[in-house]
Amino acid sequence: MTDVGRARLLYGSALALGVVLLFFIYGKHFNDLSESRLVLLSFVWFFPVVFGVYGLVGQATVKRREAPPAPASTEGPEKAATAAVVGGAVGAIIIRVIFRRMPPIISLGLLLVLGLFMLPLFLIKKGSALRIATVGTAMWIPLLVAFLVFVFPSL
Amino acid sequence: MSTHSILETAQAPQSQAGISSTALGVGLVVVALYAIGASVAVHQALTYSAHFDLKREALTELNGQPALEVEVTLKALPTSLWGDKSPKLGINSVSGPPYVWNDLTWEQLELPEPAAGATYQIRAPITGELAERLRLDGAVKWSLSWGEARLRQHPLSK
Repeated sequence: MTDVGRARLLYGSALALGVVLLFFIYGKHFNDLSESRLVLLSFVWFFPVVFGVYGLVGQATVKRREAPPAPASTEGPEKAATAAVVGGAVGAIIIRVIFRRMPPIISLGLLLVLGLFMLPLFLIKKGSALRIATVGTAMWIPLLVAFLVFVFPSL
Repeated sequence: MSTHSILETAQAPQSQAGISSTALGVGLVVVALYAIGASVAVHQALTYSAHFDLKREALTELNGQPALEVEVTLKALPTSLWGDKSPKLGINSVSGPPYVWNDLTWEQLELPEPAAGATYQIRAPITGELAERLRLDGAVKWSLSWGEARLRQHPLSK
């Protein structure tokens, strides 16, 4: 197994564990558990999921970083411009749909979560995927606590 | 394996997207230990919560206004009172946000002292904005909680 394959196995295992726990708690036993217990148990499934997702996304980011630069081509700038326009348009449509479908507080919350999720990927320019996964998971510990203590009770 | 490919393998720089065999081993052990710990935590949470046995639930009318009727047996006293210090019935609106809810204590419901094995017939009027929501939604949610113990239901309609 290659080193990349080994890492994928680790991140995939963590993600699978988190997803199984998530479905077991909220899918199978949602009505059997108190609200306070459900809140506490969010720590159980959340971190394997976050670690797995950051690991896999971090791998893709690192692989793109390590990929040899594309050969010079006259189509390069046009392709990049087209990709930026298409990406921007798709992003704008997604944001528009989110804001039309959901109350503003939830829409803003989703965008905030998305922005926070991207933070480690932007900030860690030279680190490995494992570092991205570790830093990303560590970053979400205080964020999850803050959400459950300050935001969740008011929803 | 040819000499060329051996040299190629030896000289190939390890990708930062990957990890070593040792790191994988340590990581999988951590994942396995985490899975055991999580299973214990969930099992413990479920053990705490299996305290109520629902006999009957219905939306009726009491003196011309909607009311919730619940018959429940308290199978065991909760071992931990992290949360509500005495039993509490919560009635919530189905729609929201903003959600409307009404919490009623055991005393407000005029029920006898909670005891293991006892069955209670609870009748709770639904008033004010919650009654208006019930009229619009056609259903409410209710839950009975005491410390860690919790009986929670899907929307209940007339």
